[in-house]
Amino acid sequence: MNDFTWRSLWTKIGQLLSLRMVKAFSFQLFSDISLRHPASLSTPPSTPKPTPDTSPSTDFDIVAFYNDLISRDPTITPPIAAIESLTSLLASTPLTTISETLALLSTHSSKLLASQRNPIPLSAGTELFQRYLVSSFQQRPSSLASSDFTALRHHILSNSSLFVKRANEARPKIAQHALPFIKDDSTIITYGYSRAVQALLTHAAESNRSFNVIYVLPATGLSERVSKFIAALNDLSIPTATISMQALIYALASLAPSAPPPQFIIGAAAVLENGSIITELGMHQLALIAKSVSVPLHVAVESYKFVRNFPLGYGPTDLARLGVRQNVLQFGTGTPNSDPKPEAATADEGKVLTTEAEMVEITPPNLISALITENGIMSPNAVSEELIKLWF
Amino acid sequence: MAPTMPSLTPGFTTFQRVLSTESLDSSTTFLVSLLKRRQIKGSKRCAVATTLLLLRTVELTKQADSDRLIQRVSEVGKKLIEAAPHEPAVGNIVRRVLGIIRDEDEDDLVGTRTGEDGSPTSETGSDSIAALELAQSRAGSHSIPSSLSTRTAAKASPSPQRGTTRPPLMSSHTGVPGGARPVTSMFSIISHPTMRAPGVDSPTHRSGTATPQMTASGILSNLRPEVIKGIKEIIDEINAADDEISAAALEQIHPQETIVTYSSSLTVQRFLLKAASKRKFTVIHAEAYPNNHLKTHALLTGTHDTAEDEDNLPNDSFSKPLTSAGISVVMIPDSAVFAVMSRATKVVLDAHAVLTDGSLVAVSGSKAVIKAARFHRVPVLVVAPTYKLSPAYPYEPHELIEYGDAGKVLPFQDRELCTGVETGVRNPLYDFIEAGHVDLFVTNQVPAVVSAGYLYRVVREQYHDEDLQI
Repeated sequence: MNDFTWRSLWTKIGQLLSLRMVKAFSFQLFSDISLRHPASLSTPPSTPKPTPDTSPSTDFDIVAFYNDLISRDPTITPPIAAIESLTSLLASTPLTTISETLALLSTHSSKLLASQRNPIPLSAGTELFQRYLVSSFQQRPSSLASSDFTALRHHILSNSSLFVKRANEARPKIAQHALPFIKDDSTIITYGYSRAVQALLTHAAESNRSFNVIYVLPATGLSERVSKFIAALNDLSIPTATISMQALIYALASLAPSAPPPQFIIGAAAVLENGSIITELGMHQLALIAKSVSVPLHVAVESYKFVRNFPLGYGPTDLARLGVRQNVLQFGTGTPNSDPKPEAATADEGKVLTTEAEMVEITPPNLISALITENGIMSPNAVSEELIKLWF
Repeated sequence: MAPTMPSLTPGFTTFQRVLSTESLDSSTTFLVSLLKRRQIKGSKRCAVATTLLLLRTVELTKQADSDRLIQRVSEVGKKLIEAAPHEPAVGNIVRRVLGIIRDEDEDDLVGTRTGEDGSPTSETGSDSIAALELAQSRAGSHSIPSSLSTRTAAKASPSPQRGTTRPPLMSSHTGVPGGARPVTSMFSIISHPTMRAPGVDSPTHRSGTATPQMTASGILSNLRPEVIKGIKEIIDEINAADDEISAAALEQIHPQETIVTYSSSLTVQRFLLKAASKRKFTVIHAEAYPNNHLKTHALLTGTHDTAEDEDNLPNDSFSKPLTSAGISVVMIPDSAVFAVMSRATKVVLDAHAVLTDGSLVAVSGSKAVIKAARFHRVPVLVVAPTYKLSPAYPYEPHELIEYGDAGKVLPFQDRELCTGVETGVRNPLYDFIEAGHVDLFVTNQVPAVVSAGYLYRVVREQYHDEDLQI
């Protein structure tokens, strides 16, 4: 009898305790996700983080400058545009100390990231630039160590523009590395818009490879960029077929069995530390199909798109941790045609990706055969090492 | 085969004789024809033959500065690689030798640099920003490497990976004294390793290139013996590879395990023998009909006839059968592999070549074994000496597969069986196994046991980035 009560008491205490722990844990989890600012997430611990209030004031509007860059030049990628914006920020602001410079950069980077609905590609650029500055301050040439800060600043600025120039040379190199992948009479399947893929296919066509391209269109249909891309392919007399997503497996089965095996070549907005890629919505699904029918999936991507962030999965919480909020599920009881305006948009100051055309997705690394970067062909495993090389 | 055969058909021993007597050109031609006629085959033998020929090349090259050595070695190497596209080991060895030359050359450069550090740095000492920008723009002009410019650039390049210090992120300070460090021109990711060099020491080194080669004659004569020493180390490494690999056996094979293996591989044999010295386990050995079953039988019964292997390399001859080490061995036909796989705890295989992404070329039938192992969730372990690690990417997997004597599949006297067969009888010697099917690789490199995901790192460490394309 006695024994029995003791036991029941203990189990009760145990239950209580475990319940409380779960509660505490979940609270911590939620507060983590909701309280964190998207921009501060991807900042690595090694970068010295000055407090924002010490940042010098400037009337340079980085967001407007960035948006102008993106709209003016269709070939520029978000990370490079971000770096260019930061460079002109430095150029237009009179600065006198190093810590001032770093504070300015840090506040404006977070301002820029906060202004974007999909800050992941930009964060690659801003992080890279800040890291670059810190390291070049730390290891500046001996002549500049003792000299005036203006000389140093001038030096940094001139090299920053060179950095942008260098980054733009990545694409032709990717095209060169990708050439052996494209065999005569083979079929290349692509999805989404990528400048790297465009450069790559153009280069292959110019080197007299004959190949076919299957363009998988998203459910939202042909966008302007994609139709321009296809027109460019047609100008190079590359036979191109556009299919919808649901036709993919049937299209793969319709390819001639004697032809060289088909392959996916796609681009990516960013590459995360475990080798997973950020792409347009729908790529994960296509990658699963590709894996299941053993079609290799190659990702053409410039290595400045590598982001130092390790996702733990590929769901909405992982994207939220990266600063992207989007809501695919819109439950409703109305007719499907009525198209209810999502209320979430108002709740979060328009920071939610609403249209499917701009939604993104994480495609996990085990579905990727290889990354074609300007540094050569690498497996998704090699991404983390490249990042370590860059940051430490 | 009769023991008199070796003297009649040319092979490894005749190559060794030719190498020591004939001129370099004729021994190159001889080895090329041997490779083409498959009179030297197998990764190990090809690797040793290539190393010997390159050793001879280095010995015979006149005026052996690094440029000339690299040029000669890659000339000879190219011929060999073209002669044996089915043997990646040849290319691997050529790359290794080129890497040795580059390493030694770099060491010398460091030596000269520290010696003359006083004078030419004055240029960087004044260090106007204009000079820096000039250097940078020069670096920029190199950034899309044509194959020619990389070669010259590479000469001055300190190895990107072998440096003890990791290349820091720094950018612009091109003329830092003691710049033997690989300074990346902008960002290490932006600058490909091959284009890394030219910006590095353009002020100091380029202006000084004319002088050191003339003045430092002591250093010139130093290069060749060092390189020769390095190449001889490769030969030692090849010969000791099986032993070094087997050192990992005790960690991998546990008591009472059932190991499945396939075909006749001396490396695997050694690996199992080493484990057998301490452990009791069972080996299930599939025979690999029709190309290797006789060798497998010989290996298992211990009647391995050394005379049959016309040119027994050192270490090959004294292998004893597993049964003599107290291991129970079950030999099965290839058709039973799937059936016995459910009892296996591990699969140990040899490879013909291992590619950088973790795919491998192995004796035909290996793919079936690996697929069966995957089906039954049995871990697969592949033993791969470093000379089999190839930096190539399998763009065209079917080109790596070689076809052998179809008569082994269907003897010639049974030709009437062929009547119904449309395309004839094929006998592939190798299988291409795509990446992701092997759990562990055991190499004779320092991290002896590597997972498939980390393999690229081990392969990359073997070679210099400049030599990936020969």
